[in-house]
Amino acid sequence: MNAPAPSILNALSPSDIEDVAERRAVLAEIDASCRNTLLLLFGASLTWLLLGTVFALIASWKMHAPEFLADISWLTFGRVRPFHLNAMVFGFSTQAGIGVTLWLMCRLCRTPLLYGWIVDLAGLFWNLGVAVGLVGILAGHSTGLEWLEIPPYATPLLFVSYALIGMWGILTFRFRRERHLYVSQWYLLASLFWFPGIYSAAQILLIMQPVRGTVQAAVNWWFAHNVLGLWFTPIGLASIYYFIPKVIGKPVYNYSLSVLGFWSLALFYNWNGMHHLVGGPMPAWLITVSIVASVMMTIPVVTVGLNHHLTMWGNFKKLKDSPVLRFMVFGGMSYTVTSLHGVLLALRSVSEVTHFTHSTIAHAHQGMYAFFTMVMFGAMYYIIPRLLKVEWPSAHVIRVHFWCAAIGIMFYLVPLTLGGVLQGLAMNNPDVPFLDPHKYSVVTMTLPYLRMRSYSGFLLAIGHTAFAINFIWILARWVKTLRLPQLATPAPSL
Amino acid sequence: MSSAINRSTPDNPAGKPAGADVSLPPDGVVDLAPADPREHIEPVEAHRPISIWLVTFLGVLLFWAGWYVQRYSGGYEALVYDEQAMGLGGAKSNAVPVIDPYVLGKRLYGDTCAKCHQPDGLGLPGQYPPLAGSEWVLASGPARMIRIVLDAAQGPIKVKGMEFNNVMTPWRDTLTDRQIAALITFVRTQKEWGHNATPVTPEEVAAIRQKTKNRTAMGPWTVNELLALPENESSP
Amino acid sequence: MNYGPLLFLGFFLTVASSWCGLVLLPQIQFGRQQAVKIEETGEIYPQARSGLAEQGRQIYRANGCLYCHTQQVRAQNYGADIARNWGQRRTVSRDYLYDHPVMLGTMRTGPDLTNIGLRQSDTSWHLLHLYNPRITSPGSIMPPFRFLFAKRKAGERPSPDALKFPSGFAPASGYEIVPNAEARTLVQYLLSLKANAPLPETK
Repeated sequence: MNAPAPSILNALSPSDIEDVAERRAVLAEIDASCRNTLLLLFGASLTWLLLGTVFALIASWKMHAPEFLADISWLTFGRVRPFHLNAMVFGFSTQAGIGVTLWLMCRLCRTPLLYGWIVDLAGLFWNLGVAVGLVGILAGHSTGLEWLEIPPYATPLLFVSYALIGMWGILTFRFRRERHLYVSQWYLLASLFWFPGIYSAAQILLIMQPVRGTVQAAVNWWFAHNVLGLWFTPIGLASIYYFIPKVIGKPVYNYSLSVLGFWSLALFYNWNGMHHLVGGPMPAWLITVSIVASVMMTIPVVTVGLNHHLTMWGNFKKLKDSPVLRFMVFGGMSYTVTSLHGVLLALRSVSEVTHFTHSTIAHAHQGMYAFFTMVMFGAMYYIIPRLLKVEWPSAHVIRVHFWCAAIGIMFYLVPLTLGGVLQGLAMNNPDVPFLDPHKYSVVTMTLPYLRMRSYSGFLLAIGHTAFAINFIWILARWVKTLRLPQLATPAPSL
Repeated sequence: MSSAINRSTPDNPAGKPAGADVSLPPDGVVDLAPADPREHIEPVEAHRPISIWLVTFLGVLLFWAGWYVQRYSGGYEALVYDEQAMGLGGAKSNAVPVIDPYVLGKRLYGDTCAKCHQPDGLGLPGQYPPLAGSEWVLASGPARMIRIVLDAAQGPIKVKGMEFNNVMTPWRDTLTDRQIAALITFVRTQKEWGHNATPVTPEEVAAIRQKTKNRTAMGPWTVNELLALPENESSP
Repeated sequence: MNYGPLLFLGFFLTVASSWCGLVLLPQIQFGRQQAVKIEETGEIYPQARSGLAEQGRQIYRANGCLYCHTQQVRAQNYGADIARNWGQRRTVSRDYLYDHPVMLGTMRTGPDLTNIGLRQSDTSWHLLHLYNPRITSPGSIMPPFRFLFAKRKAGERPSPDALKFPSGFAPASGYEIVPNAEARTLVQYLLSLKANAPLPETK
C-alpha cells in the first residue's frame, strides 16, 4: 500500500505539541514587529506600481499613436519610457523586494524585526530619491544610461537609504536565533550584498569617474543585467523556495539541488551582461564570454526548475485553493521559460534576428513581470494578512487580479515576442523597406503587435487596480479591529 | 545511491520507499507554531542525491563552454571584432555579395533617396521634386542625373511643370560608384513608376566622378549649369 | 550551511570575478584607446565634436532618442545594416572614444543613426522631420518634437530660419515656425554623426 509522502507533522510526538503555543507566539511576534515597516514599504511600492502602470500605458500608446500627448515636453516618449522603467524597477519592484526580503529574513532567522526605525528611515530616503530622480528624468536630466537614468543629484538619497538597509541586514543576520540557513536566506543575503556593490560600481565608473568609450557600454550592461540576475532573481527565487513548500506543507525536494542551483547562479549569471551587445562594437572575446555564460545558465535554471517542480509534484490540485500558490507557480514557471528563452536569445544566430526588436522588450517583461512581479504579488498576498491579522476582504477581487495579470501578461508576451521576431526578419531583409506606409515595411508591420501590447496593458492595469482596492480595503478593516477591545484581538504587537 | 527498482508515484517521485531518504534537519527543530492556525510548518529541505544525469549534463556544458570560448574569441585580441577570426589577420566574413544593380538600388533607395523623394517617388509638393515621371530622370542619357547624385542640385528648378527651390544632399563622399550606378539604374528603370530608361554602369559613374572631381568646392549644380550639359556623355 | 563568513566570501568572489572579466579586463585592454591617423586621408579619427554638436548631444540624451535609435553598425553579412547603407563598415570601439555617455541604443523602432550625418546632410530636412516626422516620412511613428520650436507671428517676409513647409503642412497664415536653439544644436549633432573612416581594425 502506498504510504502518503512523509510530512514533518506525522513525525512528531505529542510532547512536542506543548511547544506549539510558544512557537506560535514567536511567529506572531515576528509578524507583528514587521507590521508598520512592511506596510509602509508595500504601500509605497504599490503606489509606484500604479504610477508606473499609468506611464506604461502612455508610453505604449504613443508607440502606435505618436501624436498622443505629443506637445508636452515632459511627456515625450523618450522621457516617459525611462520613467516607467525606473518607477517599476526602483519604485515598485525594489521596495516590494526589500519588504519581502525583510519578512523572509525575520521569519527564517526567527528574530523579530530589530531596529525597525532604520528601515523606516531607509524607506523614506528611498522614496524621496526615486521621486526626485523620476521628476528629473521627465525634466530632461536623464543620464542617458539605460537602467541608470536617475540623475546624479538623486542617487545620494538612494545610497543613504541602502546603507541603512545594509546595516539592518547585517544586524539581523548577526543576531539571528536560527543557526541553520535555509536556501532562501542564501539568496537574500547574497542579493543584499550584491546590489549595493554593483550599483556603486556603476555609479563610480559611469557617472563619477566615467570610463572612456565602449568600456562604458560594458559597465552599463554588466550593471543592468546584474540588477536582474543578482538582485531581483535571488529575491524571486528565495520567495518561491519559501512559499511553495510553506503553502503546500511539504519539504523542498532536494537540498543538493538547492546548493547547486544557488552557486551556479552566483557564478554564471553575472558574466551574462555582454549578451546585450552581441554584434556591437566590442571585441569578439568579450561577447563570446557572455554568450557562454548565458548558455551555462541552463544549469541553475534547470536545477532550480526541477527543485520547484518536484516539490510541487503531486500537489498541483492545491492551486485551486491558494491564490498565493497560483502566483508563485506562475512566477516559477515563467522564470524557467524566460531564462531558457534568454539562453536562446544570447546565441549569435538568434540575436541576429531578435536584437533591436520588440522581442527584447517582451523578454524583459517576461522576467520582470511574469516572474518577479507575480512572485511579489503572491508574497504580498501571503504576508499582509499575517501582519494585520485580518483576512483579505475579497477573494473574488484577488481572483480578478490574478487572472487579469496572468492573461494580460500572456497577451503582452506572445504577440510582442512573435512580432519582434518578424520585425527582425524584416529588418535583416534589405529588400523590405524600413518605412513605407503603402507596403510591408519594418515599421508598419509592427503596428498591430504594438496595439496588442497596449490592450494587454489595460488588462494588467485592471489587475493592479484590483490589488490596490483590496489593499486599501484590508487596511480599512484592520483599522476597525484596532478599536475592538484588546482581549478579543490576537497577540499584542510590539 | 542504490538503483533498486521502485515504482515512482506522484507523491514519491524518487520511487524510494516512503520516508526512506527524506531526512529531517539534524537538531529536529521544526517550527510547528504558525501564527495563523491554518499555516503549515516553516519550510525545510529534504535531502536526496543529485541525479547523475544532471551532473553529466553539467559536464557536457562545461566542455562545450571551454571549446566555444577558445574558438570564438578571436585570439582574445582587443582589436578583433569578428568572432570567426582566430586572431589578428584572421578570416574575415566581409565578402560583399554580388547583386543585381536593380535590387541593390532598390535597397539603397529607401534610406537615401526616399527620405526626401519619398518611397513612392512622388516627392513632397513645394519641397522635394518627384522622381517618378521626372524628365530629369528619364532623359535619354544619365549624364545630368549622375552629376546631381554626386554633387547635388540647388536653387530654382522645374520638374514636371512644378517649381521647386531647395538644396539636395550630395552623395559623392558617401556612396561608391557601384552604389550610385545601382541607385540610378533602379530609378531609371523602376517598373512601378512606368520607367523604361537605360541603366547605368559603375564605369560611367566613375568617368563623370573623375571629370567633375573639383566640383565640390563650387557647390551643388544649378539648373542653368545642368541644362548647359548634354544629356548624353560621349565616352572619353 | 552555517558558515556566514565563508558565504560572504563566496558572494564576493563570484561578483568580483565578473567585474574583473567584464569591466577591469576591457578597461585594461581597450580603455585607453587613442585616436589614429587615417592613411587614406591623413586625418585624425575620431575627432571631438564641435561645441554646438556636443550641446545637441545633450538634447539627444535628455529626450531619450536612444530608446528608438541605435548608433552601432553590425558587421557585413550579420544582419542587414550594411546592406541598408546604414554604414560602409561596422562600428568599433574607437568610433566612440569621445562619447559620454555612449548611447549605443538597444532598439531599432527607428533606423540606426551612426552615419545619419552622411545619409542626410540637409539641415532643413532634419528640422522639418523633428518638427513633425510625418511631413518628410509618412507612416512614421516617431514622436513630433514641436516643443523644440517656436511659433510666432510672421513679419512682411519670412525669417531666414523659418521652416519651409510643403503644401498642406504650413501653419496658419500669418505665422511661422522657427527652431529653438535646442533644435538647432540637435541637428548639428545629427549632422556630426559619421563613422566611415577606414580604421585599420576594420580592414
